[in-house]
Amino acid sequence: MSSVIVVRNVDRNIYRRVKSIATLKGYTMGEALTEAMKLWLLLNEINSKEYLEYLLQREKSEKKLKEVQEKYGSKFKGKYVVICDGELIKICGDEEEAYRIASKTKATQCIIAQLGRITEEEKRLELGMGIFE
Amino acid sequence: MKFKYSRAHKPSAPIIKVTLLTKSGEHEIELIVDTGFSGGILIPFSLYLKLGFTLFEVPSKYYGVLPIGIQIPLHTALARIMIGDIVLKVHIHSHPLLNKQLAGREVLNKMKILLNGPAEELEIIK
Repeated sequence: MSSVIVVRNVDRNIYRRVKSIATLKGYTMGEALTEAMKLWLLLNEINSKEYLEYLLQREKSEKKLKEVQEKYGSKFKGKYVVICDGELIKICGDEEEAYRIASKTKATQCIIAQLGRITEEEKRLELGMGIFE
Repeated sequence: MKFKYSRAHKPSAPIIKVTLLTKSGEHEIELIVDTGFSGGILIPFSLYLKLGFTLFEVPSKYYGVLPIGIQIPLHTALARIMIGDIVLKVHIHSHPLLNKQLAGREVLNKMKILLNGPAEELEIIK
Protein backbone atom coordinates (compact mmCIF):
# COMPACT_ATOMS: atom_id res chain seq x y z
CA MET A 1 0.00 0.00 0.00
CA SER A 2 1.50 3.31 -1.05
CA SER A 3 0.29 6.63 0.35
CA VAL A 4 1.63 10.09 1.04
CA ILE A 5 1.14 11.53 4.50
CA VAL A 6 2.24 15.06 5.34
CA VAL A 7 3.31 15.60 8.94
CA ARG A 8 3.94 19.06 10.38
CA ASN A 9 6.25 20.04 13.24
CA VAL A 10 8.76 17.20 12.84
CA ASP A 11 12.09 17.89 14.55
CA ARG A 12 14.54 18.32 11.64
CA ASN A 13 17.56 17.03 13.57
CA ILE A 14 15.74 13.87 14.63
CA TYR A 15 14.45 13.44 11.08
CA ARG A 16 17.99 13.71 9.64
CA ARG A 17 19.38 11.19 12.13
CA VAL A 18 16.58 8.72 11.39
CA LYS A 19 17.05 9.21 7.65
CA SER A 20 20.80 8.60 7.78
CA ILE A 21 20.42 5.41 9.84
CA ALA A 22 17.55 4.20 7.64
CA THR A 23 19.67 4.77 4.52
CA LEU A 24 22.63 2.93 6.05
CA LYS A 25 20.40 -0.04 6.84
CA GLY A 26 18.69 -0.04 3.44
CA TYR A 27 15.27 1.05 4.68
CA THR A 28 13.07 3.66 3.04
CA MET A 29 11.91 6.46 5.34
CA GLY A 30 8.37 5.08 5.11
CA GLU A 31 9.55 1.67 6.36
CA ALA A 32 11.65 3.18 9.15
CA LEU A 33 8.85 5.46 10.34
CA THR A 34 6.31 2.63 10.23
CA GLU A 35 8.65 0.50 12.41
CA ALA A 36 9.15 3.43 14.80
CA MET A 37 5.41 4.04 15.07
CA LYS A 38 4.76 0.32 15.70
CA LEU A 39 7.28 0.42 18.55
CA TRP A 40 5.66 3.55 19.95
CA LEU A 41 2.28 1.79 19.93
CA LEU A 42 3.76 -1.22 21.77
CA LEU A 43 5.36 0.97 24.41
CA ASN A 44 2.04 2.71 24.94
CA GLU A 45 0.29 -0.61 25.34
CA ILE A 46 2.66 -1.50 28.20
CA ASN A 47 1.69 1.71 29.99
CA SER A 48 -2.02 1.30 29.34
CA LYS A 49 -4.43 1.26 32.27
CA GLU A 50 -5.89 -2.00 30.95
CA TYR A 51 -2.54 -3.79 31.04
CA LEU A 52 -1.59 -2.48 34.47
CA GLU A 53 -4.99 -3.56 35.81
CA TYR A 54 -4.46 -7.03 34.34
CA LEU A 55 -1.01 -7.28 35.99
CA LEU A 56 -2.47 -6.24 39.34
CA GLN A 57 -5.23 -8.85 39.16
CA ARG A 58 -2.76 -11.57 38.09
CA GLU A 59 -0.64 -10.80 41.15
CA LYS A 60 -3.71 -11.03 43.41
CA SER A 61 -4.72 -14.35 41.85
CA GLU A 62 -1.23 -15.82 42.33
CA LYS A 63 -1.32 -14.85 46.02
CA LYS A 64 -4.77 -16.35 46.45
CA LEU A 65 -3.72 -19.57 44.70
CA LYS A 66 -0.93 -20.05 47.25
CA GLU A 67 -3.43 -19.68 50.10
CA VAL A 68 -5.92 -22.04 48.44
CA GLN A 69 -3.22 -24.68 47.80
CA GLU A 70 -2.19 -24.53 51.46
CA LYS A 71 -5.77 -24.73 52.72
CA TYR A 72 -7.37 -27.19 50.28
CA GLY A 73 -4.43 -28.75 48.42
CA SER A 74 -4.47 -32.09 50.19
CA LYS A 75 -8.21 -32.23 50.93
CA PHE A 76 -9.23 -31.75 47.29
CA LYS A 77 -6.14 -33.18 45.63
CA GLY A 78 -6.58 -33.62 41.86
CA LYS A 79 -9.54 -31.24 41.59
CA TYR A 80 -9.35 -27.96 39.71
CA VAL A 81 -9.64 -24.50 41.15
CA VAL A 82 -10.72 -21.29 39.43
CA ILE A 83 -9.33 -18.08 40.91
CA CYS A 84 -10.34 -14.79 39.32
CA ASP A 85 -9.09 -11.32 40.23
CA GLY A 86 -7.74 -12.68 43.52
CA GLU A 87 -10.96 -14.43 44.55
CA LEU A 88 -11.62 -18.17 44.82
CA ILE A 89 -14.53 -18.76 42.41
CA LYS A 90 -14.99 -22.52 42.58
CA ILE A 91 -13.35 -25.86 43.19
CA CYS A 92 -14.33 -28.01 40.21
CA GLY A 93 -14.43 -31.74 39.66
CA ASP A 94 -12.59 -31.60 36.35
CA GLU A 95 -10.70 -29.27 34.04
CA GLU A 96 -13.61 -28.88 31.59
CA GLU A 97 -15.86 -27.56 34.34
CA ALA A 98 -13.13 -25.16 35.46
CA TYR A 99 -12.85 -23.76 31.92
CA ARG A 100 -16.65 -23.37 31.71
CA ILE A 101 -16.74 -21.49 35.02
CA ALA A 102 -13.83 -19.21 34.04
CA SER A 103 -15.38 -18.41 30.67
CA LYS A 104 -18.58 -17.22 32.35
CA THR A 105 -16.89 -14.75 34.68
CA LYS A 106 -16.66 -11.05 33.98
CA ALA A 107 -13.24 -10.93 35.64
CA THR A 108 -10.09 -9.36 34.20
CA GLN A 109 -7.88 -12.34 34.91
CA CYS A 110 -8.27 -15.97 36.05
CA ILE A 111 -5.90 -18.80 36.94
CA ILE A 112 -6.99 -22.40 36.51
CA ALA A 113 -4.89 -24.81 38.58
CA GLN A 114 -4.97 -28.36 39.84
CA LEU A 115 -5.11 -28.68 43.61
CA GLY A 116 -2.38 -30.57 45.44
CA ARG A 117 -0.13 -30.45 42.40
CA ILE A 118 3.18 -28.72 42.80
CA THR A 119 3.52 -26.53 39.75
CA GLU A 120 6.92 -25.61 38.47
CA GLU A 121 7.20 -21.97 39.54
CA GLU A 122 9.17 -20.68 36.57
CA LYS A 123 9.55 -22.00 33.04
CA ARG A 124 11.89 -20.64 30.42
CA LEU A 125 11.26 -20.72 26.69
CA GLU A 126 13.61 -19.98 23.81
CA LEU A 127 12.24 -17.11 21.74
CA GLY A 128 14.62 -17.49 18.80
CA MET A 129 15.22 -14.92 16.10
CA GLY A 130 11.65 -15.10 14.74
CA ILE A 131 10.50 -12.29 17.00
CA PHE A 132 12.98 -9.85 15.42
CA GLU A 133 12.12 -10.38 11.79
CA MET B 1 -3.66 -30.13 4.35
CA LYS B 2 -1.50 -27.53 2.59
CA PHE B 3 -0.70 -23.88 3.26
CA LYS B 4 1.00 -21.55 0.79
CA TYR B 5 4.06 -19.73 2.14
CA SER B 6 3.61 -16.08 3.07
CA ARG B 7 5.08 -13.78 0.44
CA ALA B 8 4.83 -10.83 2.82
CA HIS B 9 8.20 -12.14 4.07
CA LYS B 10 11.41 -12.06 2.07
CA PRO B 11 12.29 -14.80 1.31
CA SER B 12 8.81 -16.29 1.60
CA ALA B 13 8.03 -17.98 4.94
CA PRO B 14 6.08 -21.10 5.91
CA ILE B 15 2.83 -20.38 7.73
CA ILE B 16 -0.02 -22.41 9.18
CA LYS B 17 -3.60 -21.32 9.68
CA VAL B 18 -4.85 -22.12 13.15
CA THR B 19 -8.32 -21.78 14.63
CA LEU B 20 -8.22 -20.68 18.24
CA LEU B 21 -11.20 -21.95 20.24
CA THR B 22 -12.09 -19.09 22.54
CA LYS B 23 -14.94 -18.25 24.89
CA SER B 24 -16.55 -16.13 22.22
CA GLY B 25 -16.18 -18.69 19.45
CA GLU B 26 -13.66 -19.64 16.81
CA HIS B 27 -10.97 -17.25 15.63
CA GLU B 28 -8.67 -18.06 12.71
CA ILE B 29 -5.14 -16.66 12.62
CA GLU B 30 -2.03 -17.12 10.51
CA LEU B 31 1.14 -18.13 12.31
CA ILE B 32 4.71 -18.12 11.08
CA VAL B 33 6.36 -21.50 11.57
CA ASP B 34 9.27 -20.86 13.94
CA THR B 35 11.35 -23.84 15.04
CA GLY B 36 13.54 -21.45 17.08
CA PHE B 37 10.62 -20.78 19.43
CA SER B 38 10.22 -23.57 21.99
CA GLY B 39 6.74 -22.53 23.20
CA GLY B 40 3.28 -23.15 21.78
CA ILE B 41 1.75 -20.13 20.10
CA LEU B 42 2.82 -16.51 20.43
CA ILE B 43 0.25 -13.81 19.72
CA PRO B 44 0.17 -10.03 20.29
CA PHE B 45 -1.14 -9.01 23.70
CA SER B 46 -4.04 -7.01 22.20
CA LEU B 47 -5.31 -10.23 20.59
CA TYR B 48 -4.67 -12.26 23.77
CA LEU B 49 -6.82 -9.78 25.67
CA LYS B 50 -9.51 -9.51 22.99
CA LEU B 51 -9.95 -13.29 22.75
CA GLY B 52 -10.24 -13.64 26.53
CA PHE B 53 -7.16 -15.79 27.16
CA THR B 54 -6.50 -13.85 30.39
CA LEU B 55 -9.34 -15.96 31.85
CA PHE B 56 -7.60 -19.29 31.23
CA GLU B 57 -4.11 -18.68 32.53
CA VAL B 58 -1.80 -21.30 33.95
CA PRO B 59 -0.30 -20.97 37.43
CA SER B 60 3.35 -21.24 36.30
CA LYS B 61 5.32 -18.14 35.38
CA TYR B 62 6.78 -18.30 31.89
CA TYR B 63 9.75 -16.33 30.64
CA GLY B 64 10.85 -15.96 27.05
CA VAL B 65 14.61 -15.87 26.64
CA LEU B 66 15.86 -13.75 23.75
CA PRO B 67 18.92 -14.95 21.79
CA ILE B 68 20.92 -12.23 23.56
CA GLY B 69 19.97 -13.69 26.96
CA ILE B 70 17.39 -11.09 28.05
CA GLN B 71 14.28 -12.57 29.66
CA ILE B 72 10.75 -11.30 29.02
CA PRO B 73 7.86 -12.44 31.23
CA LEU B 74 5.23 -14.17 29.11
CA HIS B 75 1.53 -14.22 29.93
CA THR B 76 0.40 -17.77 29.32
CA ALA B 77 -2.93 -19.53 28.94
CA LEU B 78 -3.82 -23.08 28.02
CA ALA B 79 -6.27 -23.34 25.14
CA ARG B 80 -7.62 -25.60 22.44
CA ILE B 81 -6.71 -24.98 18.84
CA MET B 82 -7.69 -26.59 15.56
CA ILE B 83 -5.49 -27.07 12.52
CA GLY B 84 -7.79 -28.53 9.90
CA ASP B 85 -9.39 -31.42 11.76
CA ILE B 86 -6.53 -31.78 14.28
CA VAL B 87 -7.48 -30.53 17.75
CA LEU B 88 -4.64 -29.75 20.15
CA LYS B 89 -4.34 -28.27 23.62
CA VAL B 90 -1.42 -25.85 23.64
CA HIS B 91 0.02 -22.93 25.55
CA ILE B 92 -0.76 -19.46 24.19
CA HIS B 93 1.90 -16.91 25.12
CA SER B 94 1.88 -13.16 24.88
CA HIS B 95 3.53 -9.92 25.96
CA PRO B 96 2.82 -6.32 24.89
CA LEU B 97 6.36 -5.94 23.54
CA LEU B 98 6.13 -8.99 21.29
CA ASN B 99 4.03 -8.33 18.25
CA LYS B 100 4.62 -11.50 16.22
CA GLN B 101 2.31 -14.44 15.56
CA LEU B 102 4.38 -17.60 15.80
CA ALA B 103 3.84 -21.34 16.01
CA GLY B 104 6.60 -22.86 18.12
CA ARG B 105 7.92 -26.36 18.69
CA GLU B 106 5.24 -27.29 21.26
CA VAL B 107 2.76 -27.21 18.35
CA LEU B 108 5.04 -28.20 15.48
CA ASN B 109 6.37 -31.31 17.24
CA LYS B 110 2.85 -32.74 17.41
CA MET B 111 2.56 -33.00 13.64
CA LYS B 112 4.38 -34.40 10.66
CA ILE B 113 5.15 -31.39 8.49
CA LEU B 114 6.73 -31.17 5.06
CA LEU B 115 8.29 -27.85 4.09
CA ASN B 116 8.23 -27.85 0.32
CA GLY B 117 10.46 -24.86 -0.34
CA PRO B 118 10.55 -24.96 -4.17
CA ALA B 119 6.73 -25.11 -4.28
CA GLU B 120 6.50 -22.57 -1.42
CA GLU B 121 4.06 -24.83 0.34
CA LEU B 122 3.76 -26.35 3.81
CA GLU B 123 2.01 -29.69 4.04
CA ILE B 124 0.72 -31.40 7.16
CA ILE B 125 0.99 -35.11 6.53
CA LYS B 126 -1.47 -37.47 8.20
